[in-house]
Amino acid sequence: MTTAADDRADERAFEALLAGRPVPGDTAGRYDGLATFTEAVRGSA
Amino acid sequence: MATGLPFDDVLAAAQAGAAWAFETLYRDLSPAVTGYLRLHGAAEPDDLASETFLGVFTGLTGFRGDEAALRAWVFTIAHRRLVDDWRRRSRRPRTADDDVPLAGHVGGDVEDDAFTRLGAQDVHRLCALLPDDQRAVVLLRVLGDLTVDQVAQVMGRSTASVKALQRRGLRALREELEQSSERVGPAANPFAAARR
Repeated sequence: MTTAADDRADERAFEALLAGRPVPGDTAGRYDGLATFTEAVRGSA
Repeated sequence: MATGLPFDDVLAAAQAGAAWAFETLYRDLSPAVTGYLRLHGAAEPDDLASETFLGVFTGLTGFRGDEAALRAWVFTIAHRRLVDDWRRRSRRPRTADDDVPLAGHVGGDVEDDAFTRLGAQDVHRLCALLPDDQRAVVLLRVLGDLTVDQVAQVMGRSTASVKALQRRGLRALREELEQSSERVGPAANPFAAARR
């Protein structure tokens, strides 16, 4: 189940990826998929 | 700008009718605009992009602002054209099951192209999973390089509403990516594999 903390973590990760920074504290690679999605979207333009 | 020329000079020349300046603005913005329209499943993204830039160049003399403001204004026009297109077609966007020739549109570095081809169908599929308004927020942030406030302006919504849409969109993407990884395993998942 997704919690409010998950939502906040998603937002922080997204802002980091948009700025081209690594996602802080993501040692487990939870946001690797979102990072690749973001890169692929940019690459499609 | 990508040309290295100061934005204000290019804008002033375009507003004075200089073809080279129009071309500079078009070259700078059209890939992201066309990508935005394509990933929304527009039937004719190139045509919609052309309509967008016709609107931009028609209204350019009245524009006031910096490069970021111009970008937001161009995406506002593109988004309106897209909404008009949705109304005309009154159906959901195309999905990755359709034969969208995305690979033919990529350019630049060979590795980047291979990577983009690898993920193109998955990107279309993921985008198609999101409701229109959530997809618009995510794509305007990524492709438009717009802030939450600028996205709110483009979509004619409040900042709080855009933040909520972004939250729901990101949650949906993360959950789908996690489930996808569980279904096929990380080794076969292009979104996970490409990062290793």
